[in-house]
Amino acid sequence: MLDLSKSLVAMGKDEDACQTLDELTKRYPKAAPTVLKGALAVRAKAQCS
Amino acid sequence: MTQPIKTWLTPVLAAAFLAVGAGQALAQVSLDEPLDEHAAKRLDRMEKAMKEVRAIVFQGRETGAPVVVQPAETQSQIAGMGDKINDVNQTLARLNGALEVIKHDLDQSRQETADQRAVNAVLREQVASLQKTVKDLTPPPAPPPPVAVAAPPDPAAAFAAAKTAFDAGDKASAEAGFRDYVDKYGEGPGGPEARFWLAKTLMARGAWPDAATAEIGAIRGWPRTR
Repeated sequence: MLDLSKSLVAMGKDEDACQTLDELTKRYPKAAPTVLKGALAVRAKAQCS
Repeated sequence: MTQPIKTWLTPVLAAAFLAVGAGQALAQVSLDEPLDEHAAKRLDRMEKAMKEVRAIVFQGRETGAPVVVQPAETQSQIAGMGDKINDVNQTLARLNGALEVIKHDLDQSRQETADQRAVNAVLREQVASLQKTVKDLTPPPAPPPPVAVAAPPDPAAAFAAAKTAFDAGDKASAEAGFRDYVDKYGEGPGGPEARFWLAKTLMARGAWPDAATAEIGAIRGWPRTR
């Protein structure tokens, strides 16, 4: 899902990327720290609220 | 000395007396007597000259301008010069008009040139901008032709071969291997993970839409991992 959000950001679909990241943190709140850290970076890049 | 003077003075005095006497005789000619032809012509010329002198004097008195005695043909010469001056003036007027037209055309041409230069500058900027846009839109270089990974008949071996290529940095071979795996065994337990790694190879070369598609496929089937 993190990769999907990255792809969506690269495609310019920031809103979809943010929804994907929301789903990621919702489904896997205890995901690996690297995944959560990457999610934060993508969230910042997509300017998620 | 006295004798020589008397010698030449005598005939001179005599001539003077004769002249005075002749003058008195002429003065005593009556005006009523008819003049001979020569005298009449002479008198006519004198009267004509007197009339001209009177006309000149009266003209000077009436106009206040100084009396200028000039040959009779001067007036025609002046008139001719005046005509020539008029012709020159008309020619100058025509030339001035032509110059005005030329100046106007030149100004117009200069203005058109300036406008054209401005348009050219704008077009140059637009072309530069478009070139930059086109350059930015140029797709990433196509991946090198994938080295065909011979798909082993065993799905696990096929997956392992593609993963080995990925780990070795051979993204093209890995992409081909995982795509082949998905095509053949995509519905099996290893399908989602193969799509996951296929998406990784696609992301590596910037094929974002294909990568997203593969990732969605991986997410959908993720619980069914091998």
